[in-house]
Amino acid sequence: MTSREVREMRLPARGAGGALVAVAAGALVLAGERHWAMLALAALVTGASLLLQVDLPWGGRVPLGHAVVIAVAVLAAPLECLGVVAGALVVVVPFRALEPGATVRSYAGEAASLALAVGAASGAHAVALLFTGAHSPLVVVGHAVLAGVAFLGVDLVLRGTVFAPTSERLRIREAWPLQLSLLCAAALLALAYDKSVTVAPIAAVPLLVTQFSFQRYSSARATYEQTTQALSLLPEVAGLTPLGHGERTALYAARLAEELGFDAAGVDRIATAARLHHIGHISLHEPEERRGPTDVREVGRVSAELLRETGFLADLADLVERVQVDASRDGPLDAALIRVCSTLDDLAEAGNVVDPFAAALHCHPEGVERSAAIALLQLHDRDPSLVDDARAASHALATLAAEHSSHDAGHVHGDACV
Amino acid sequence: MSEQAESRGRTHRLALLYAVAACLVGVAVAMRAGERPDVAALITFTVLVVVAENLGVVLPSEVGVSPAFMVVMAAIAAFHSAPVLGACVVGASAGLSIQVFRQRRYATLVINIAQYLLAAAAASVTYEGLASVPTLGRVLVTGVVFGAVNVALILPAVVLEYDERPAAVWADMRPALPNYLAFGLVGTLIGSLYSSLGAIAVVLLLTPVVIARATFWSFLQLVEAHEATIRVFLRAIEAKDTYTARHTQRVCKYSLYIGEQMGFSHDRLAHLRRAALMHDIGKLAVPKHLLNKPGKLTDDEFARVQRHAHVCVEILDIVDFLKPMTAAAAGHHARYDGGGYGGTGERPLEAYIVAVADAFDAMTSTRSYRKALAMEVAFEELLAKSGSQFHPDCVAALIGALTARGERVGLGFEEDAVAFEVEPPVAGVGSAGLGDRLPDVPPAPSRSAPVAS
Repeated sequence: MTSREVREMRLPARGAGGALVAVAAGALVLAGERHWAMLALAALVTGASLLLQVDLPWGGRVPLGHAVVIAVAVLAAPLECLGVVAGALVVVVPFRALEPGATVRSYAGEAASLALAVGAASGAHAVALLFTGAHSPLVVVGHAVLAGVAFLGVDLVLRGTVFAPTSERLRIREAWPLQLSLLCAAALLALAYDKSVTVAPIAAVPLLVTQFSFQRYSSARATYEQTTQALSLLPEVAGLTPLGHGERTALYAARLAEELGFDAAGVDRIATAARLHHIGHISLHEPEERRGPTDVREVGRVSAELLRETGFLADLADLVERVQVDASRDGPLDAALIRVCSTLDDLAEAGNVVDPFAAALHCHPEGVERSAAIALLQLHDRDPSLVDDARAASHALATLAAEHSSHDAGHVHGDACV
Repeated sequence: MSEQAESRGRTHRLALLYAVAACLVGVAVAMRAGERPDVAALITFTVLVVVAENLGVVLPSEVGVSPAFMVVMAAIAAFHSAPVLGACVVGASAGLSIQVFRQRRYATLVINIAQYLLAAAAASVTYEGLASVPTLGRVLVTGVVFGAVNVALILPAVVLEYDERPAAVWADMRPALPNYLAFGLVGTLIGSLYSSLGAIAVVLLLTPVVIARATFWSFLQLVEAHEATIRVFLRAIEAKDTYTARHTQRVCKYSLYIGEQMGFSHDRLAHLRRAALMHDIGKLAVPKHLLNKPGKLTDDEFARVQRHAHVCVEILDIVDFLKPMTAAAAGHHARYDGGGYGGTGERPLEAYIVAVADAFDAMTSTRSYRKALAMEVAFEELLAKSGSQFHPDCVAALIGALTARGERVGLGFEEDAVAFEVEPPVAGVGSAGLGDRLPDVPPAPSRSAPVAS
């Protein structure tokens, strides 16, 4: 199932979640003083808000409901709070079941990490109550912040490790702005509810603003990625470079860059540069007319020139140029790692090498390239599915490659160490 | 030079006039107030408004909305004691723009401070006067008063400083008005939150907004990068075939005409623009000698072009916003009645728009081996195929848009006219680029023959 289909499936769940929040919030106000009714409605609101998820641009999703859960942990007694969360998890079940790719295991993981995080939040709040009993706005906010930090910390640790599939792992470096927004919304909710139930919906404002901006950013990022993918395919369908070379190099480079500690923006930049590192072919050569090995420096120079002319991608152009031109052994790491990944792809796709990772190391025996090649080797040792993942990334083309194998047979890509 | 000096002199006189008016109003308000505004609120909102004014958000529609307006509205709703005076102070602070100060446009600085003060005073008086009106109505009227004074005072200043026609300035400002209303509502909300929950609530509310702003800024950077990437594609296509490059740009222009005529939103137009610019992506993978070969292709050459076209469909299919264009890339066009590549089924309107724009430009531009058709002939051709090959709404929109603009294209008005050695015939209704060279397509299911390819 493609990401687009998943997105389309998720929309009704979001709509339903939003409607539930609205209905429940209204009922909450009407229920007034009856304690049990308030708790039941709190469970409903919490469950509905857990359905409203924000897609992080770099993978992973965070439910806006975490803010509500933190507020509940501050406003209700620990046992009541666990009850509310249990109720909320029941509300969530039918919607989660509708989501594609949902399994009992993933739901259990979600429930377990939520329960543990709520426990931590309640515990933190109970401890805080021992020290500060007085009820002032500042104290309420302080309690909410403490409980929130406990909740988000535990959640981050759990979802960063055991309870989430690799692609959805959260990393604090990328998730903190969203987490901080949730923390503020939680504190605002607790503060507003403490004052009067009718003011409580005000907390929806920061949550919605957060959702809007993150969602727009995520979708713009996806579109940008698709455009660069399409561009990177141009020299490939023209028969100038192997089909899918850019996409596979980008996947290797992104994983390796993550491994080597680049931040999300850095990984993005490296992946884009890897996708476009061979774009210069389209203005250097005529399709189907390539004869013999190409001067890689020339490709690098022309690729960079193309990007530089646009005015905005100058930084990317420099990196692309360095990939092919600046092959000094002490050159910058980002260019070196793209070079190593490009070599690896050439070797892996040529099919006449038993261990392309070792061969790639052999191609780059010195300096930063050596460290990059070693890191890539280690990455593969830990996650042997790397090559399969890369081939899957260029899957749409793999079928075409098979279809056009006779056509491509005339183009042997000799320069393996590019 | 003297003209510039004269304009500057007029701006200075206007600044003086505004400053005097603002001082008079300020003194009158201070004398009537009789008490001191809440100091904590004064500090909070003054700091907020200065920060907000200097962090103006540029929306994608390129209409700058200063969040300062939101903070002034918040201040109007927040003050318990001497509300009008408080609002005036916060309002005046809204004019303190570091950028304007750095540019040494002191007259503009004075004008801004004065006009914000006057607008805030008027809005605050309105807000106090409407105490018995329900909140929503109160906020709406207050926002309108603020906006009216704001626009009435800014308009002459901008007209003088930039020497533009008032109508043009107004047309620039108008799209921002709904944003101002929304900002006004949120501002009032912040104000009442301040008065009921204290300053900490405002901090909690605004921290996520600041984070969202940072994310939104990254979003705008990304949009810019995306545009640049599309320019890479255009540069590459230009290097290969200047005709295709200009054709692409004209198709883009006609597509936008149609989109505007059909009332597309700003976002949808942006999407349509990118899709139209990239609909010919497949040409890059076709050898130059085939792309520029006059006359028809041999069977073998045709097969090669077809194969590339097929691969291009796969490329376009990766990009969500280009999916509608796959049919055009395969060398066929999205036929309105469901014929052609891709079979039947509802297509996004964008596909039909680009198909009409593509065929129209193909007919009205000159190639190296044939002359362009006259615009009227192309219109007739489009109308004849309207409803079968072309989406009737798109055809009507294109004709309507070109007629309304009084634009002339086609025979006698070509932008890339070719000097012919031997006058070629004015005939041959074919698509641009590939379509011209493809052999006749097997008979389409409909009775009428396709116009293009």
